[in-house]
Amino acid sequence: MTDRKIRVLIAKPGLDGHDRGAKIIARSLRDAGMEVIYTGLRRTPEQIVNAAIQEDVDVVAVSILSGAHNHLLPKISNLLKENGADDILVTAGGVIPEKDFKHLEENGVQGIFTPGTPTSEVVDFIKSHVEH
Amino acid sequence: MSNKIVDKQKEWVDNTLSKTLERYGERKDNFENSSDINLNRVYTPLDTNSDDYVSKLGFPGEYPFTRGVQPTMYRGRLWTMRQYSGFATAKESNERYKFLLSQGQTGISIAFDLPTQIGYDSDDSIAEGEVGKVGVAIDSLHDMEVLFDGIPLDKISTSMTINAPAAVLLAMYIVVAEKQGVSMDKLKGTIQNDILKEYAARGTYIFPPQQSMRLITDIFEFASKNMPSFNTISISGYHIREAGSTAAQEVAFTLANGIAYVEAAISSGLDVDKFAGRLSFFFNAHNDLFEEIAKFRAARRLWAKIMKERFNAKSQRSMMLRFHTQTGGSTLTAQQPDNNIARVTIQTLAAVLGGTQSLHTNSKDEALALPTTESVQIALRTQQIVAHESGICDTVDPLAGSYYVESLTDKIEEIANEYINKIDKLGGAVKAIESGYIQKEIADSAYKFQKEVESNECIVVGVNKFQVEEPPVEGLLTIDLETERQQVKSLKEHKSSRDDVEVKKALDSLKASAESNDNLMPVIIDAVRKYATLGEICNVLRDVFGEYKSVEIL
Amino acid sequence: MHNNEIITKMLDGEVYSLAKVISIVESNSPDTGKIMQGIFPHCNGANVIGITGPPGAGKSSVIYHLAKTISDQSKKVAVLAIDPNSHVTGGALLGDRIRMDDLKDVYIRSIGNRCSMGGVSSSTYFIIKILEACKYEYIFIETVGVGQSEVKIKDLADITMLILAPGLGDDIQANKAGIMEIGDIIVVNKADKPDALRLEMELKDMLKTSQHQNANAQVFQTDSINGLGFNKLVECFPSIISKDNKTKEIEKLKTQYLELMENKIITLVHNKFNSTEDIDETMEDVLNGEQNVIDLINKDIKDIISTNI
Repeated sequence: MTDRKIRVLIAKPGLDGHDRGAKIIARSLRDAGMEVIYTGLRRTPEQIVNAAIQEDVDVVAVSILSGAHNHLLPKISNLLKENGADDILVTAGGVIPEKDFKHLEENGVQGIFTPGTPTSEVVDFIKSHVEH
Repeated sequence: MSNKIVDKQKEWVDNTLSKTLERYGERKDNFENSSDINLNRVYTPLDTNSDDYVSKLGFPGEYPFTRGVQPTMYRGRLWTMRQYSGFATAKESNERYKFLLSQGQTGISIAFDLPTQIGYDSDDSIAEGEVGKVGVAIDSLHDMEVLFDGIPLDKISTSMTINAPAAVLLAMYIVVAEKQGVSMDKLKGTIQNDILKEYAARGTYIFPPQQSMRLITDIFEFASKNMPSFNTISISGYHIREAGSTAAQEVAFTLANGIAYVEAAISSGLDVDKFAGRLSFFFNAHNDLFEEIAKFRAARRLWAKIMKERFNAKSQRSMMLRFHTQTGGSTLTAQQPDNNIARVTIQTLAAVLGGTQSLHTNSKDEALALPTTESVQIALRTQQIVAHESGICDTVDPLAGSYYVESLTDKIEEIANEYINKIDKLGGAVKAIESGYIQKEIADSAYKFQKEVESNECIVVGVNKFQVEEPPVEGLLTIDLETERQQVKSLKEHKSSRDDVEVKKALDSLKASAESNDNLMPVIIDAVRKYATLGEICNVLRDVFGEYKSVEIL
Repeated sequence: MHNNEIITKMLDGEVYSLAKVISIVESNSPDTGKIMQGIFPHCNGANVIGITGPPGAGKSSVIYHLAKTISDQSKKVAVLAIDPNSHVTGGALLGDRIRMDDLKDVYIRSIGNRCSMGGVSSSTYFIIKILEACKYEYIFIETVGVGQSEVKIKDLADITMLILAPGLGDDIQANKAGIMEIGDIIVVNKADKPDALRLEMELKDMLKTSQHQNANAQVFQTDSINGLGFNKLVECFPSIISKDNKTKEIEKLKTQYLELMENKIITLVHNKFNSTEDIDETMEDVLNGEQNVIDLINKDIKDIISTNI
């Protein structure tokens, strides 16, 4: 009888200071029974991956609204891979135009949640993609 | 008189209303606005006290300024149409400014990219992927000169959305003007320079609070002597609202920050009437038309009282809350983006009926990308249509006397005042932010709103109702990595073509002044003139002041 | 991956494996006993420092500076930051790592207390031992506020530290109970604030008249904004930590053993109760005098004992 909880790292990479969405997602995931670790603002991809590994998270949920997603998301994904942690699910949220989805998906991002997405969709996606 | 109304209302309830209620009910059990104010079915003279007209409303241009800060408002002069813009390099932004001016915009508003806002040069490793994305990249005076090429600084007023490194950008603006032959005292404009809201809601801080306040009061002092037509701060509620606060909280937290700035300036030795006249504000305009109008009026009246009673201001000018408004970005949707034009129109009405001095309207693609030329044109036209075709500018404060609007104005002022008292008890805005109080209030309101949208208690057209299947939007503005490459390249070239000895001397003087009590503006202007970069200047200050470590309240 | 493989990698120094082993143990896996059996022999004694205090006192910042000071001396440091799980949803917001994230070589793990009463999770002891086996020399445990947590933290830690700060309102009054039971060290953080000295004086007075064993507690001032006072604080650790490791380890384990047994039995009792059919009817019978309540309880307990665990 294990008491395994889904652990999610909510990450704010780069210089973007908008955290309204990240904080709301954090609460929603907590309400859905998950353990949520928030990195705070201005984290480098290295710091984010370091945290993901130390915390043994199931998901790294990246929040980014500054337009730097095409650069920062693949970086995070690749660093996870290099550190033997590519079993960690990477999702993204924020201001990400649809034309960039393919590039991100090809670079390891598995769920992209843009403005207007109900939080329940994020919860369901994570629950259905994390096996325990 | 009021007894007649009471009696008549009872009659109405018993004879007319109750029948309709029994048959049809109402759409909701409770009608509440964002500030959690319960809305009556009908407002009557009983809801406001019209005996207080003179003391509560008065006349525009006079204390308590409820009806507006100028006696003639838009009959005298329309608000400044000032579209926030900037992207990629200085050259491309310069072209956008020229386009907007040619289309009838009456003031410039600069958006800087994140590295610039946080005091990093474009070649800093932390700036990778971010150069030119949310605004224009400015690394040194060179870029600033290109940005204003062909734009006469004695004729146009410029607003710069810059906070932590505001002193540096202001210095660059001064030197560019100087090179155009325009002296400092002729310059008109605003720097946002509001660090407290950065800590609370926006995130582009650099230095810790005490040192940031020092920079801010240095700017106040310098400008009070040299730049009489320049607004040295734009105390902002826009971002607090965007982060999820209610309308009443927007007023409360903004004015609480304002109080902290006035206190800091007075502590540094400035006389309140010498600088308060150049404080300006920046608010949001959301969709609830009447709540927003009431909010602006409440803010004006409350600030006037604060300046008079708390700070003993003597000059009328010191008690005036002059403000810029931006329509609410967070209200615009990625779904069916054309609908946003309708939203922005309502928000424009709110700002104008609320008496704004200057206005930025968002473009329809706000939730997707930076605006294209076509979409920013429509946003500007929205302002022009309201200004010239709607008739609402032809009398001052047209909604005064509305039982509903006056009741809301009173209520919002009351709620905001309660918050300000609470913040006073915590020791002021700086302490409230350090303890995370303001951040938590904002996060709680944001979460509450999200739940209301997800339960369909709040409808967002196109998002949780009236959705359609749509193909991805085409033709959005994109900034690619070529911009970053170009900017880094020209930064390198600029650095190799300047006098490094002079730059070093200037930076050393800056360090010495930062370590002592000198006003930092003159040394920063000197460093900027020698083409020291923004990053170099900010790094010196980082060494001396340290960096802020944020309090995160989930 | 088989547990043995992960444990070997973990003992070799691989951080991801360490993190995975902690997750297994934290989730009350049936393999926990076997895993710990393999880990205990590798434990060589670490300095465990429990940190508690009211919200706003700056616990995380104090830990940041302490961890940095020690890590700069080339010693291996780990931090366990414990926050409460929601009793309603079971989820948790774990935000303490934010203030410490700049420490590259420090292992930081955020833990939910899994709704346990003492403010630390029941697996905290095992996690500490795992870190010890991986050669971490200093392990900081940051707990949930004040109240019950410091009681439990005392059982696990070699040094308990209470962090206070001036200007937090009625902190002295509210913490009277906590202060009287906690600790070896009391830290007055935010030393830059005007009331810091007064708070220090008040504390020293209270300790003088204290009847409890912590009357010898030392009071320090720190300023976590400017990073001052931490060298001095670290220097006092050796004088507080008792030298007799073996006895200490046995005592700690005895306490944990008892607690784990208690937790296990409580869980079994709850499970039995919740799975009892027709419980309402049975209760009615008791109220009607048709059943003997003590006999019923004894029967349930017998059932539990005779069940294979």
